[in-house]
Amino acid sequence: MRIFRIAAAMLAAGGLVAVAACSDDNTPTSSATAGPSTSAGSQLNPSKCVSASLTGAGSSFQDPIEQKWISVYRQDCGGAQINYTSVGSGAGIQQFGSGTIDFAGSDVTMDAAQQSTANGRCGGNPAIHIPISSGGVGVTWNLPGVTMLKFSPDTIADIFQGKVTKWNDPEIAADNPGVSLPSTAITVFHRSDASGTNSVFSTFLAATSKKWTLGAGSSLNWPANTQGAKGNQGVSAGVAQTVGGVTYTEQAFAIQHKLPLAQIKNAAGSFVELTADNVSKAIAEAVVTPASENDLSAKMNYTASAPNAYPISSLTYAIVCSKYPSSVPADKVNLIKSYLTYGITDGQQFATDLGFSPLPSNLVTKGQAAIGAIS
Amino acid sequence: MFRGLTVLAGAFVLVVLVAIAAFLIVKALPAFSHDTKSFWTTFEWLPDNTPSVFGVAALAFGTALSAVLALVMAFPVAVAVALFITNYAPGRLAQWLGYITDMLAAVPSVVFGLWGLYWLVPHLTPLQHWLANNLGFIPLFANSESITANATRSIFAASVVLAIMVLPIISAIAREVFQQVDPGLKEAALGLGSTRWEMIRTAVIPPSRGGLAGATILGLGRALGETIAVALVLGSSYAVNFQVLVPGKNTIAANIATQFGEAGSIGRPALIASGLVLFAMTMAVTLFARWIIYRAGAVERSAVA
Repeated sequence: MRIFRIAAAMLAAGGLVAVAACSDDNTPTSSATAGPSTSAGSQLNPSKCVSASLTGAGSSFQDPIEQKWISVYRQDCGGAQINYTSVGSGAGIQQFGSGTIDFAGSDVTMDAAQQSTANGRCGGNPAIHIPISSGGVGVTWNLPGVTMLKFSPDTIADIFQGKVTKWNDPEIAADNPGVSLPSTAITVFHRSDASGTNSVFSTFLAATSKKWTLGAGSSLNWPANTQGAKGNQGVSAGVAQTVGGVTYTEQAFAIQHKLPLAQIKNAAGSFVELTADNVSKAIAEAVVTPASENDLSAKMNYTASAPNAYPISSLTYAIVCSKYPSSVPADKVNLIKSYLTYGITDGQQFATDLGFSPLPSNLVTKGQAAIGAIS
Repeated sequence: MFRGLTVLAGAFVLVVLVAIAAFLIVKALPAFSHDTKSFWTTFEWLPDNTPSVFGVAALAFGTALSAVLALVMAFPVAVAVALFITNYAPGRLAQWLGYITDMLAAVPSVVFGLWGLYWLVPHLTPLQHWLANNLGFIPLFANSESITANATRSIFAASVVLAIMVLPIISAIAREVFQQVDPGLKEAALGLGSTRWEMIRTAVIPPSRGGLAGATILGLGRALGETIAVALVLGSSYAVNFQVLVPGKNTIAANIATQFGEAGSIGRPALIASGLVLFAMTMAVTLFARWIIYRAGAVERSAVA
């Protein structure tokens, strides 16, 4: 009988978490309430609808907002078939390069080899990055009684490299005057899977702290006294199970699970909390570094002086051809343009509810121009 | 006509095997041309960095270590379960126990992984802590980072999950093997005044050795290739040591699962190259098992003759 009970408990636990696991990285798309009224939100002109099919794949981070846009877009344009599959940025770029999908979603810009493969797929025309949304990464912890913490980049670097090992270390105390910190040991949880979250977090640290020596990338060579865990679910479970635990998760996940989030010191010297608005303020300072005409790859500006900019922020992109080869039907190209234009304009209204940050207006304007030039 | 079909089916299996090997080799080759350090001795996995560094040694080591540990834990239990079902349990109970162990084999591995992540890891903490404090002088249980007092995603935790997953496979086959034992042999042993345990030792185990070896190797095959349960439970690192209680280490399959989605132009072939190594490892294990079973069979036949 005992074995029955264990089996039943396992099935129940499995079922419970499987629901959470389906949405892998963040907001369950199915339960996303329809923001500010879906039909009124969209201003698509049905006469401009294109009956074509469009396939995208890539970043799991941008999956919830893509699914939202697709469902709203198709309410007005039922003839449009759009699919987006969450397979990871790297896999999306690879599929785009091999021509099996029409656009890729990516949290990172392509490297030189990927860019040249993608250009080849576009018939020799450059493949371009178009920012479609943005989000931040928050630092969260498990210390009963400590409800607010502030961190400067150097402190984060020392904690996550295992150099600061107690919560009452003078370095943490210096960032948090007046907070009584226990002598509990710090247990660092990091993402064991390659992810855009790793990339955003480490890029921020590499740019802002000389103490950070692990470099930047979607996978890092973490010290032995830190623990890996898979996905936002894995690291947050680790922190929940461990008093003294600390980790980083993406904005949507942290907000959805109501995790305590640290205020992070930005270049202007102020400690800023992670909110959709504060991320947008940081994104507005991003510097566009085009690899070709109409390319909108951007680098975060970690020295910007905007007082409320949340520094651990990043863009997520759609990767498309600046000019599609003649084998791609004109209808399909029109649908790409129409869908992406909708996404970066009217589609931004859903960002905050889904745990994203809306694109700032400067990037919306540039994005519209770049999309308009696609042929 | 029927003969032709069966030959075709047999040939098809071979073709698939060769096609898989060829695919792995072709897709893995680009990784080696970018390999700045040795693929066999590097203890890091950052193929998309410049310069690109990656090595399969730590992964292969973790794969073997976790699978062997799982077998060490699962084998005695599985054999005991099979013996109980075939020789001790009354008919109805035996039947039910048989069904239940078979059901355990039908639980998807992701469920085991989630159970491991949310339930087992925190509940294993006291045991890991106790082992480290009392048996820490054994290198296997050393606690170099002093963190076994926390919920620790160690190779030990992953092996416990793997052990539970391979247990039904080993026990189901062991049960079948024990049922094949000639009842005449068993009755003869009992008739000579053996206790039931002596009967098992003298009449049941010896003719079952080959079958038990086969069961173990099938279990090992599952443990070597298990992906998602390990990926969920194990905290990954690329260390090579025998400290099974500290977090980290990694397996080939779990590393592919966690790294593939974001892998870039070198990371992808590098992962496929590691998959090729896993393929070779499981092939070697299977062939070795065949050889053991063949030898055990030969010994038995010569004993009978």
